Amino acid sequence: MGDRRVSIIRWKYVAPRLLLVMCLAGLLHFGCDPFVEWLVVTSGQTATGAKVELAELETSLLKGQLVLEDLQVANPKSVMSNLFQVERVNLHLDPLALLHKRVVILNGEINGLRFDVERTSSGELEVPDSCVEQEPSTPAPLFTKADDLASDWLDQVGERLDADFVGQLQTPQVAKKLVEKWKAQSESLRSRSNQLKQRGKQLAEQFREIKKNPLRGAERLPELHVELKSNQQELLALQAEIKALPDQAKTDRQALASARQRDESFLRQQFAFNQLDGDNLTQVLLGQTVAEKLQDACDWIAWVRKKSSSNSSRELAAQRSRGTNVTFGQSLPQFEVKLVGVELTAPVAGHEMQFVGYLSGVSSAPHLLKEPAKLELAALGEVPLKMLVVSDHRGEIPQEELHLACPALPFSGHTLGNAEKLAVELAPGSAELTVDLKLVGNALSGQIKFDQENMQLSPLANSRVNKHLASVLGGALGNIKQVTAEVELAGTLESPRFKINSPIGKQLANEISTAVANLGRERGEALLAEATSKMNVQMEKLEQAKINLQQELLANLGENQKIFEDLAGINGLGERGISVPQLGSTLGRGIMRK
Amino acid sequence: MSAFFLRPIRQLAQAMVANDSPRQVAWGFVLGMAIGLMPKGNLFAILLGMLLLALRVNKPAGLMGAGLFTGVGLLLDPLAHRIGSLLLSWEPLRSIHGSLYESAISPWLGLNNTVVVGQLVIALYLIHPAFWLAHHFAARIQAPLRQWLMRFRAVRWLRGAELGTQWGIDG
Repeated sequence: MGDRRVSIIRWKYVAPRLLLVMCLAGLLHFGCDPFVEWLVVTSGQTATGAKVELAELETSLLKGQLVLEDLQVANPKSVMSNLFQVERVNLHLDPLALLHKRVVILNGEINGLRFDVERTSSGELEVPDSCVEQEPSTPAPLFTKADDLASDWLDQVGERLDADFVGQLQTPQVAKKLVEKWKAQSESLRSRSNQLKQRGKQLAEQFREIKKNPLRGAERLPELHVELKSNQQELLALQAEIKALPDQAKTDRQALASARQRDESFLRQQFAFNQLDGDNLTQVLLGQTVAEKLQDACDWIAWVRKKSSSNSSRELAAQRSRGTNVTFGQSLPQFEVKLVGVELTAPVAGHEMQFVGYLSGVSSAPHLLKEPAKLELAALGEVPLKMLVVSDHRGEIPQEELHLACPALPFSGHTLGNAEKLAVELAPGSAELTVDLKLVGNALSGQIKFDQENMQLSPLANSRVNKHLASVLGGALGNIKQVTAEVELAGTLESPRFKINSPIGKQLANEISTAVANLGRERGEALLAEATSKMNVQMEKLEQAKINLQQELLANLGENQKIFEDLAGINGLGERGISVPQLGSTLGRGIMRK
Repeated sequence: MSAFFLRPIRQLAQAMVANDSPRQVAWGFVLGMAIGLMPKGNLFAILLGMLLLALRVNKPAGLMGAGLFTGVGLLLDPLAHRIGSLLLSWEPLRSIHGSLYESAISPWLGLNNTVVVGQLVIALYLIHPAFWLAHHFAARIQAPLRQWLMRFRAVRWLRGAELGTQWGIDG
């Protein structure tokens, strides 16, 4: 026992632990890929609140290489589409930085990046993210109000043009009243004529009886004399009335003329439309598009800011509690992307466009870097589009800038305004587009310039719009050959505001207002002409009826007139009245023969 | 199961009555002292712990030292921070610190932390006095204490249980 040399190392303890370390190394080698894949998917899902899928992942810790194949990140707001998807991501990490517990992407490539691509399966997570709320965009009330105003104007014009104002015109009403009055008058005249005729016959009968028996009827002669006088006077009055009928027509015509004047004034008032507000129209036509894009951009910036601030706070929280870590003047962020090449496809103005560029300076602690984060992209092909996004979070106040310039951006045809109300279709063409957007803290400022020449505008077919109005709008829009717009951005990230300065609204408003005024005048004149024509026809019929009645009544009265004239002749013989012999001779010559 | 609950008491008795030499007890105590002083959560503290367990030193003495000096270490933190700051910012050593930091050795070992470096210096400074004290304490106290303790049946029983455990006859 005394010769036995005891080793200072407890191999019984060390050996199993060495074995364990070797096992851990093996596990790290073979389990690294699944672990990093799980890390990418989990952190991605936590960040977006939607499914993140990864087809393949390869890591090489010694080389510091990370390759991701077919990465799909679902859109939490639209689960059947991907927020973005990437065919291949090849990143070269700094292995030494990994030993410092930092992830530094020295360089890399992102190929086949596409946005908003349809998914075959839902991208919703099993536990829905309650933080994702669909809130109405802030500028929505602004253009909604403008849209309502413009569509109200259009509805009002359409309604008035469609309205049957003939029912409200006074000329047809006056004409109708005259016809009714004439009907009553003609009935009265006809009735009085018939009564007179009847009474004439009765008088003749009474005189005939007196002639048969003169002695018995003599005492009734004074009474008949009075009745005869009365009838004679009524006959004269009736004849005067009938003869005055043409004069009455003149009065009727005057009444109709004054009614027509009132109608003209009424129609002028009805078709005098207010001038369409040009600024309002600009808001209607361009406001919705601008508001949607602006709100999208602000939402994205807010989302990115929210995520980046949480990373920084986590980094600060990770500091050691005992002592101070000395970094020897090399304070570096936990996560950094130095330079990554990007190749992506994105829809711009309705066209799928390919871009190449680079992403640099992305970091979890931007204040430690000299340069701000940058994304610079240039379009491939014939379209000379360049975009630069700068995100500077190095100072206390974060700043974002977006610069986009394209002298000839192709536009597919699209609709401006609300297709349900007032909208115009913009034909395909190309336009110059410049975007300069700046966000300092929460204060938003910037400008968007849009200039499209040789453009074609046409009104959108809408069943609500009057067909005459649609044709007028077509003519008015045809006169506009250029659209220029300048959008001034203001407000904050939470409630962005914008003002669109564009002559298109005023141009359209002038063209439409003039055309609509002309249409209104034409419509008024047509209505008045229609009413006058109807009135003339009625008046002609009325006059003809009057002439016919006059002839009819005068002819009808002719027979009685003879009796009354004969009887009047008798009456004119003396103040003593009619003597029986005279009666007999008079009646014997005339009416008594019948 | 009983071994699990009796283990701490056994270890205390073992520290006193084990067959380890005073040298082994002293080295165990010194290593325990370094572990206690050092902030945990870095590779240096883990390496010291592994050394304590892997080397043939008195483990109970090491555990006692670690427990004792953990409290002392917290009290010495301000002093350790000052010493560490001085050392880490000392110009002649700056290049060495820089290269160690660049090669990621110092961050993992915690050698870029002021308190770690300060406590390491304090621990190095205390090695000799601690060893000397522990060695003398063990040499003088261990034998009489063992005799005195062995009079108690419970200690004999505990010692027997410890031996039984070591020989694989745990009940």
